[in-house]
Amino acid sequence: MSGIKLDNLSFRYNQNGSADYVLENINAEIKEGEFVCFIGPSGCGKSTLITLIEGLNLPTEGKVLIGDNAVTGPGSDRCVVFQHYSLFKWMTARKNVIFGIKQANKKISAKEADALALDYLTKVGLAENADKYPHQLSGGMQQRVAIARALAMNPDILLMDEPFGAIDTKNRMQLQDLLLQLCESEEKKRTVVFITHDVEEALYLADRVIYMEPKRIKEDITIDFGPKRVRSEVFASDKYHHLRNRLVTLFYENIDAEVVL
Amino acid sequence: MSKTAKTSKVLNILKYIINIPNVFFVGAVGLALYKINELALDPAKNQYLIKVDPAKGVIYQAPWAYIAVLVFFEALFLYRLFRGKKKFVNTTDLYTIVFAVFLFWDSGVKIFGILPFNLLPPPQNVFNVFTLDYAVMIDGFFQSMFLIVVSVGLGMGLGILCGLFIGWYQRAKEAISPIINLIAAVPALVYAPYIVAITPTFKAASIIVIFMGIYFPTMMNMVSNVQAVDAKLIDSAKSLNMSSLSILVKILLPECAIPIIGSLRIRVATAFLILIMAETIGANSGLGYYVKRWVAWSDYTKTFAGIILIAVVVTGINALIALFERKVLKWIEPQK
Ligand SMILES: Nc1ncnc2c1ncn2[C@@H]1O[C@H](COP(=O)(O)OP(=O)(O)O)[C@@H](O)[C@H]1O
Ligand SMILES: [Mg+2]
Repeated sequence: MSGIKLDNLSFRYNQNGSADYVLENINAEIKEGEFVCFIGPSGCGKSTLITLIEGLNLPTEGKVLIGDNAVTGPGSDRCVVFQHYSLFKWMTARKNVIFGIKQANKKISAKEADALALDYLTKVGLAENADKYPHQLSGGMQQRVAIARALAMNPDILLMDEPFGAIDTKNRMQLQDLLLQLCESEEKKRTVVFITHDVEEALYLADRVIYMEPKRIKEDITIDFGPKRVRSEVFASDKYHHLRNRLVTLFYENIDAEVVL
Repeated sequence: MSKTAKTSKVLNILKYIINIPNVFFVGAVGLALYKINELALDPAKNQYLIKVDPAKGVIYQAPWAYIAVLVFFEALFLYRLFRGKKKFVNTTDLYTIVFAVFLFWDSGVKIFGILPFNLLPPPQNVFNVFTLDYAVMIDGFFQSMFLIVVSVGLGMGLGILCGLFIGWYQRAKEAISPIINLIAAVPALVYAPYIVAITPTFKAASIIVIFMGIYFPTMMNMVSNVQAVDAKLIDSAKSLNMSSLSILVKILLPECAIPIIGSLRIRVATAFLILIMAETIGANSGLGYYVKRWVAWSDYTKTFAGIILIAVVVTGINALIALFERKVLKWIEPQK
């Protein structure tokens, strides 16, 4: 079981100090195999939430449950892709992926790991660049490697913290399609928690969008444009425009509130 | 082909043959042979130009060693000119200066007498020293290199390891860094004579001194590298299920230590500085000792040869390190 349950979750950095809560009484349930986008203004606690699900930070109050088990630290059932820093720069793309595979599965033989790495690099379209170092690859290619590594580690839950945030529009679209295609093609239906501040990205990718305002969840919207969606059709649909307006309005309200303050 | 095009082509070829470095080279070779008999026959000036062999009598040492050096530079010049990646003028500028220095040195001593013969002997005398003393020099080179390799290796190895742990464990850093700062504030050159005096063998003494001069800066460098590591890199390592120990060894060590290889050149230069200084205090072999010994004997021909040898060795090692860096640090973004 790889559903995620956020049970009355509160968190503050510097637990013994008087720091403010960054997250307060978060309750949400993400079903196994669901693709959920968290969206919201910067500083509202999205990245913090990801670290809590991953187990990099532990809740101040409440629990994060994976299936029936509370998260107490990082585990091989989960894997994070960050905006930067996911790759080790002294390893080639292939070595990076192999490293991840060996971390996830210590018993795998070097030969199998190598074949698996190349397989996933091929899936993300980087077979030719497998032996390049990260600095020799563009930002988009680096994120492809990071995704290949994450998927090759075969986690139940894929956590992504603004993975395409620093990538130009065209490449970002390609990566979004690649991600959807990879999630649909694999036999195992992974649960994906994806963070973004881009409304279009959230609507296009997600089965469900959760809008956060600082510290809490404001709105929980089911999307579901169905499998094998086509970008132009999605973007042309009334449903898309309706949902987009709704989300953009949420951002506006936030700005108005700040202005009043 | 028009006449002007032809002329310009001829001119173009001519400029590779008739240029200032080439003219200076021919001049320098001529000058090397000029008055050579006079020099050799003058007992005050024939230092290392004449060698006495008991079996064959007196052997005349023509300035072949010096001419060989000139030819070496000329070959390098021509190679750079035709094959090099630098601009034509940059190459000619550089070699103009090289040959001008030799011309000035030789003529200044031999012809114009601007440079005092005893304090600065002409190049043919100096370079002949290499043909006479090469055995001692090679031995000195290996003695010095042994001390450098051992002490730099120990200093950098231990410095990196200690820095890694101290940087990682905040508490250790708080406790140790004020003490380290105090010790590192004293230049190795200051306590070198003291350590040479109290340590029984010179080898041990110079290893200790160089080690101290390398270890502390390397360690502090490593501590600050570890502390500057972005928390996200560590997060992303943790999310790969790595234990603290393997993050330390597999992530922080390469992330923080490999840039330190970039400081290897400075460290080796420091090591040479300390070693040669130490050798002038207490050694009985080595490159620094060679210079010190002949200064003490007021033999400036050999002194000069020793200085040139040190310059060549240090430059050669720097070039080797640069090559090594390029091989090892492939993953580092090219510096723009
Ligand atoms: N390591 C940290 N220590 C203390 N405060 C932090 C830390 N990381 C983030 N914060 C604070 O927590 C809040 C939420 O940050 P974050 O989760 O990064 O937001 P988001 O990802 O939505 O932009 C911000 O106010 C931020 O300043
Ligand atoms: Mg964030």
